[in-house]
Amino acid sequence: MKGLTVMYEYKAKKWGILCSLLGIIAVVAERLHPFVVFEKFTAAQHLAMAQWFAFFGLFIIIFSKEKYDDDRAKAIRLKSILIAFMMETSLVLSIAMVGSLSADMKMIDSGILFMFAGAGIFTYLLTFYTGIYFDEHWEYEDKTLWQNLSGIGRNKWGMLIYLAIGVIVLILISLLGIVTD
Amino acid sequence: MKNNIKVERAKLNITQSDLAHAIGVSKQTIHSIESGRYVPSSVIALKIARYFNTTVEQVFELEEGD
Repeated sequence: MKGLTVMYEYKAKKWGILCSLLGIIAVVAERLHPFVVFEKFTAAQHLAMAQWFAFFGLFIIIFSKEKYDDDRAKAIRLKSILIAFMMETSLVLSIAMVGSLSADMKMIDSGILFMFAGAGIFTYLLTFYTGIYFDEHWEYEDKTLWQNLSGIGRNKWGMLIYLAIGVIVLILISLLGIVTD
Repeated sequence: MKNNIKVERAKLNITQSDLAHAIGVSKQTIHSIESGRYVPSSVIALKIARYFNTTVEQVFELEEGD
Protein backbone atom coordinates (compact mmCIF):
# COMPACT_ATOMS: atom_id res chain seq x y z
CA MET A 1 0.00 0.00 0.00
CA LYS A 2 2.56 2.48 -1.16
CA GLY A 3 1.78 6.07 -0.26
CA LEU A 4 -0.79 5.17 2.42
CA THR A 5 -0.21 6.87 5.77
CA VAL A 6 -2.73 7.29 8.56
CA MET A 7 -0.81 9.48 11.00
CA TYR A 8 -0.94 13.29 11.26
CA GLU A 9 2.03 15.53 12.04
CA TYR A 10 3.03 16.15 15.67
CA LYS A 11 1.70 19.73 15.43
CA ALA A 12 -1.80 18.36 14.73
CA LYS A 13 -1.86 17.15 18.34
CA LYS A 14 -2.32 20.70 19.69
CA TRP A 15 -5.37 21.15 17.44
CA GLY A 16 -6.72 17.87 18.77
CA ILE A 17 -6.17 19.01 22.36
CA LEU A 18 -7.85 22.36 21.63
CA CYS A 19 -10.78 20.67 19.89
CA SER A 20 -11.33 18.11 22.67
CA LEU A 21 -11.04 20.77 25.41
CA LEU A 22 -13.63 22.97 23.68
CA GLY A 23 -15.87 19.93 23.26
CA ILE A 24 -15.51 18.92 26.93
CA ILE A 25 -16.23 22.48 28.11
CA ALA A 26 -19.31 22.57 25.86
CA VAL A 27 -20.48 19.18 27.20
CA VAL A 28 -20.09 20.34 30.83
CA ALA A 29 -21.82 23.67 30.08
CA GLU A 30 -24.64 21.90 28.23
CA ARG A 31 -25.09 19.45 31.14
CA LEU A 32 -25.17 22.23 33.76
CA HIS A 33 -27.33 24.68 31.85
CA PRO A 34 -28.83 23.25 28.65
CA PHE A 35 -28.62 25.93 25.97
CA VAL A 36 -29.33 26.33 22.27
CA VAL A 37 -27.08 28.15 19.77
CA PHE A 38 -28.67 26.95 16.54
CA GLU A 39 -32.45 27.26 16.74
CA LYS A 40 -32.87 24.37 14.31
CA PHE A 41 -31.52 21.89 16.90
CA THR A 42 -32.66 20.97 20.42
CA ALA A 43 -30.47 21.18 23.56
CA ALA A 44 -30.05 17.37 23.45
CA GLN A 45 -28.77 17.62 19.88
CA HIS A 46 -26.37 20.38 20.97
CA LEU A 47 -25.07 18.06 23.70
CA ALA A 48 -24.52 15.31 21.11
CA MET A 49 -22.65 17.80 18.88
CA ALA A 50 -20.42 18.83 21.81
CA GLN A 51 -19.70 15.16 22.57
CA TRP A 52 -18.85 14.55 18.93
CA PHE A 53 -16.50 17.55 18.96
CA ALA A 54 -14.72 16.25 22.09
CA PHE A 55 -14.33 12.76 20.60
CA PHE A 56 -13.12 14.19 17.30
CA GLY A 57 -10.37 16.08 19.18
CA LEU A 58 -9.31 12.88 20.96
CA PHE A 59 -9.34 11.09 17.61
CA ILE A 60 -6.91 13.69 16.21
CA ILE A 61 -4.65 13.24 19.28
CA ILE A 62 -4.58 9.45 18.73
CA PHE A 63 -3.58 9.78 15.10
CA SER A 64 -0.92 12.48 15.65
CA LYS A 65 2.72 11.52 15.86
CA GLU A 66 4.75 12.03 19.02
CA LYS A 67 7.54 14.63 19.18
CA TYR A 68 10.03 11.76 18.97
CA ASP A 69 8.11 9.12 17.06
CA ASP A 70 10.85 6.51 17.34
CA ASP A 71 10.75 2.71 17.22
CA ARG A 72 9.80 2.43 20.88
CA ALA A 73 6.82 4.78 20.38
CA LYS A 74 5.72 2.65 17.42
CA ALA A 75 6.06 -0.58 19.44
CA ILE A 76 3.97 0.88 22.29
CA ARG A 77 1.43 2.27 19.80
CA LEU A 78 0.99 -1.15 18.17
CA LYS A 79 0.35 -2.88 21.48
CA SER A 80 -1.98 -0.08 22.66
CA ILE A 81 -4.00 -0.41 19.44
CA LEU A 82 -4.22 -4.18 19.93
CA ILE A 83 -5.43 -3.72 23.53
CA ALA A 84 -7.96 -1.04 22.49
CA PHE A 85 -9.17 -3.24 19.61
CA MET A 86 -9.47 -6.21 21.96
CA MET A 87 -11.45 -4.16 24.49
CA GLU A 88 -13.72 -2.60 21.87
CA THR A 89 -14.37 -5.83 19.96
CA SER A 90 -15.19 -7.66 23.21
CA LEU A 91 -17.62 -4.89 24.10
CA VAL A 92 -19.28 -4.87 20.69
CA LEU A 93 -19.55 -8.68 20.55
CA SER A 94 -20.96 -8.80 24.09
CA ILE A 95 -23.60 -6.18 23.29
CA ALA A 96 -24.36 -7.94 20.00
CA MET A 97 -24.90 -11.19 21.92
CA VAL A 98 -27.13 -9.50 24.51
CA GLY A 99 -29.03 -7.67 21.76
CA SER A 100 -29.54 -10.76 19.63
CA LEU A 101 -30.99 -12.68 22.60
CA SER A 102 -33.31 -9.84 23.55
CA ALA A 103 -36.10 -8.85 21.19
CA ASP A 104 -36.96 -5.75 23.22
CA MET A 105 -33.53 -4.18 23.44
CA LYS A 106 -33.05 -1.09 21.31
CA MET A 107 -29.61 -1.66 19.88
CA ILE A 108 -28.50 1.37 17.94
CA ASP A 109 -28.79 4.93 19.17
CA SER A 110 -26.23 7.72 19.31
CA GLY A 111 -25.53 7.07 23.00
CA ILE A 112 -24.39 3.50 22.39
CA LEU A 113 -22.32 4.58 19.39
CA PHE A 114 -20.55 7.21 21.54
CA MET A 115 -19.93 4.44 24.09
CA PHE A 116 -18.30 2.22 21.45
CA ALA A 117 -16.11 5.10 20.25
CA GLY A 118 -15.27 6.11 23.83
CA ALA A 119 -14.27 2.57 24.82
CA GLY A 120 -11.70 2.37 22.04
CA ILE A 121 -10.45 5.95 22.35
CA PHE A 122 -10.02 5.97 26.14
CA THR A 123 -8.47 2.49 26.28
CA TYR A 124 -5.94 3.49 23.64
CA LEU A 125 -5.08 6.88 25.18
CA LEU A 126 -4.70 5.42 28.67
CA THR A 127 -2.55 2.51 27.50
CA PHE A 128 -0.36 4.47 25.08
CA TYR A 129 0.45 7.46 27.29
CA THR A 130 0.98 5.27 30.38
CA GLY A 131 3.28 3.05 28.34
CA ILE A 132 5.30 5.78 26.69
CA TYR A 133 5.82 8.10 29.67
CA PHE A 134 5.15 6.29 32.95
CA ASP A 135 5.40 2.49 32.71
CA GLU A 136 8.93 1.42 33.65
CA HIS A 137 8.04 -2.25 33.09
CA TRP A 138 6.32 -2.17 29.70
CA GLU A 139 6.44 -5.64 28.10
CA TYR A 140 7.71 -5.15 24.55
CA GLU A 141 7.69 -8.84 23.64
CA ASP A 142 4.34 -10.54 23.14
CA LYS A 143 4.10 -13.97 24.68
CA THR A 144 1.89 -16.89 23.70
CA LEU A 145 -1.23 -17.87 25.65
CA TRP A 146 0.62 -20.70 27.43
CA GLN A 147 3.52 -18.41 28.42
CA ASN A 148 0.99 -15.88 29.71
CA LEU A 149 -0.79 -18.53 31.78
CA SER A 150 2.41 -19.99 33.21
CA GLY A 151 3.65 -16.51 34.17
CA ILE A 152 0.27 -15.36 35.45
CA GLY A 153 1.72 -13.72 38.57
CA ARG A 154 4.10 -11.54 36.54
CA ASN A 155 1.48 -10.47 33.99
CA LYS A 156 -0.50 -8.13 36.24
CA TRP A 157 -1.52 -5.61 33.57
CA GLY A 158 -2.56 -8.36 31.17
CA MET A 159 -4.65 -9.96 33.89
CA LEU A 160 -6.21 -6.56 34.68
CA ILE A 161 -7.26 -6.15 31.04
CA TYR A 162 -8.76 -9.65 30.89
CA LEU A 163 -10.49 -8.96 34.22
CA ALA A 164 -11.94 -5.66 32.92
CA ILE A 165 -13.27 -7.41 29.81
CA GLY A 166 -14.70 -10.18 31.98
CA VAL A 167 -16.47 -7.67 34.23
CA ILE A 168 -17.95 -5.86 31.21
CA VAL A 169 -19.21 -9.15 29.77
CA LEU A 170 -20.71 -10.18 33.14
CA ILE A 171 -22.45 -6.80 33.51
CA LEU A 172 -23.90 -7.14 30.02
CA ILE A 173 -25.02 -10.71 30.68
CA SER A 174 -26.68 -9.60 33.92
CA LEU A 175 -28.36 -6.79 31.94
CA LEU A 176 -29.72 -9.49 29.63
CA GLY A 177 -31.66 -10.87 32.58
CA ILE A 178 -33.14 -7.44 33.28
CA VAL A 179 -33.99 -6.80 29.62
CA THR A 180 -35.62 -10.19 28.99
CA ASP A 181 -37.72 -10.11 32.18
CA MET B 1 21.02 -8.19 25.08
CA LYS B 2 23.64 -6.39 27.14
CA ASN B 3 24.92 -2.94 26.27
CA ASN B 4 27.65 -0.51 27.29
CA ILE B 5 25.76 2.71 26.65
CA LYS B 6 26.12 3.90 30.25
CA VAL B 7 29.89 3.36 30.11
CA GLU B 8 30.20 5.09 26.75
CA ARG B 9 28.10 8.02 28.03
CA ALA B 10 30.30 8.30 31.09
CA LYS B 11 33.41 8.47 28.88
CA LEU B 12 31.94 11.44 27.00
CA ASN B 13 30.29 12.86 30.13
CA ILE B 14 26.89 13.23 28.46
CA THR B 15 23.36 12.67 29.79
CA GLN B 16 20.64 10.40 28.42
CA SER B 17 18.89 13.53 27.13
CA ASP B 18 22.02 14.62 25.23
CA LEU B 19 22.32 11.23 23.55
CA ALA B 20 18.60 11.08 22.83
CA HIS B 21 18.65 14.54 21.23
CA ALA B 22 21.75 13.68 19.16
CA ILE B 23 20.25 10.55 17.58
CA GLY B 24 16.65 11.80 17.38
CA VAL B 25 14.84 9.59 19.90
CA SER B 26 13.16 10.31 23.23
CA LYS B 27 14.95 10.26 26.59
CA GLN B 28 12.64 7.44 27.70
CA THR B 29 13.81 5.36 24.73
CA ILE B 30 17.48 5.73 25.72
CA HIS B 31 16.56 4.90 29.32
CA SER B 32 14.70 1.75 28.17
CA ILE B 33 17.56 0.63 25.92
CA GLU B 34 20.20 1.34 28.57
CA SER B 35 18.34 -0.66 31.21
CA GLY B 36 18.03 -3.59 28.77
CA ARG B 37 14.23 -3.59 28.67
CA TYR B 38 13.96 -2.48 25.04
CA VAL B 39 16.01 -3.93 22.18
CA PRO B 40 16.55 -1.16 19.62
CA SER B 41 16.19 -1.52 15.87
CA SER B 42 19.33 -1.89 13.79
CA VAL B 43 19.03 1.75 12.67
CA ILE B 44 19.02 3.09 16.25
CA ALA B 45 21.81 0.69 17.25
CA LEU B 46 23.93 1.93 14.33
CA LYS B 47 23.19 5.58 15.20
CA ILE B 48 24.24 4.98 18.82
CA ALA B 49 27.43 3.23 17.74
CA ARG B 50 28.23 6.00 15.25
CA TYR B 51 27.66 8.66 17.91
CA PHE B 52 30.20 6.93 20.18
CA ASN B 53 32.52 6.48 17.19
CA THR B 54 32.63 2.73 17.63
CA THR B 55 31.02 -0.44 16.24
CA VAL B 56 27.63 -1.93 17.16
CA GLU B 57 29.38 -5.00 18.59
CA GLN B 58 31.33 -2.77 20.97
CA VAL B 59 28.11 -1.23 22.33
CA PHE B 60 25.70 -4.18 22.15
CA GLU B 61 26.37 -7.80 23.03
CA LEU B 62 24.18 -10.89 22.74
CA GLU B 63 23.45 -12.79 25.95
CA GLU B 64 22.82 -16.48 26.55
CA GLY B 65 19.28 -17.24 25.36
CA ASP B 66 19.02 -14.30 22.93
